[in-house]
Amino acid sequence: MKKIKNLDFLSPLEKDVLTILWLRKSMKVRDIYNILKKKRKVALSSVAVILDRLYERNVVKRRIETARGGIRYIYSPRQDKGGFEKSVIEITVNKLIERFGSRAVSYFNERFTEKGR
Amino acid sequence: MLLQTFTSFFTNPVKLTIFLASFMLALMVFVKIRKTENIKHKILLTYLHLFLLFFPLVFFAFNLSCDMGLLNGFIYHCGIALTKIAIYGITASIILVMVLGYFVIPGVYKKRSREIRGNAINTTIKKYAKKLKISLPRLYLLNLAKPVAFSTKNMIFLSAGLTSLLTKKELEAVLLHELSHIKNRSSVLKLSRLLLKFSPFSNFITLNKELSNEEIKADATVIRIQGTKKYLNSAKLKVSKYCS
Repeated sequence: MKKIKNLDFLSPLEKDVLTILWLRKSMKVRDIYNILKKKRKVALSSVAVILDRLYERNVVKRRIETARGGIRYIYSPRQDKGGFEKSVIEITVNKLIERFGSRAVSYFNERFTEKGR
Repeated sequence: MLLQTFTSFFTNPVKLTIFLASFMLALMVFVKIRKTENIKHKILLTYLHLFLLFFPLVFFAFNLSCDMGLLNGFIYHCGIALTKIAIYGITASIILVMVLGYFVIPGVYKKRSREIRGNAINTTIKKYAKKLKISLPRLYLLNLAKPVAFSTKNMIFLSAGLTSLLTKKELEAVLLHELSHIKNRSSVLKLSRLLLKFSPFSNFITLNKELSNEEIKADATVIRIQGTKKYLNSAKLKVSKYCS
């Protein structure tokens, strides 16, 4: 599986788009927009931009559907919510260990033994 | 000795006549490009102008002889070689730009995209191509989220992002715009503008005005056929919002 990139921040709109995709599995840009516009003020172009950004960061995948009625992108999440959250934790912990080395590991150790008591 | 070789070309009356006549014709054609309003004529005259301009130079370079022997000096050989390289180089660049513009670049895009057949978009293209009295162009789909549409000779390229973003009517407006460009041969005009930069007179004439007129004409065709500018404007707004 492709590794997810730059997951430090997900904007509120990105989070909303992903939440919809987790529920529906695969959707057209316009369908996501139709659900999202009931919840917040958003343009179809913004949803398309967000989906492309998520695709570039390997959070979602897409395929082209060439139906008789037209041609469109169908987006679907690469992982379910649980898998995605696990990836975020993994990336964050790895970054902390990379940055602070043994200090981060001993902190985690302290923290978990505290919790264990 | 170098100067002598150069001047010997011009002392030959036949060669001098060919050289000057071609240059004079190139100048006359240049004046005609400025005066004519017809786009097709402008394109043809641009090519003729470049041919007449570079033909005497190539003829001159071809006549520069290198049979003086190596002993005649380094400067002589360098001078001849540099003159030949400069003239042949510019001429080769013009041919290269033409080959790139006509064959290579459309070919690269063709390879990066896939042809779409039997789709609703093809039906729309067929309908409007008939209306505009042009041969049926081929439709190619680019796997790109950015909304892009452009056309060359008889090909229309659309990005999947564009088709996902626009409604049926808006897409129809974009297709009509591109079909109008195909009808008016705007891609050839764009290439002519680039080629014209090789002319030493390029400061006095650019085809920028003609190209912006082409855009206006294409938009006017959309409005005339659709009967409204609503869809064209909303398509433009969506694309600009995406890019901002």
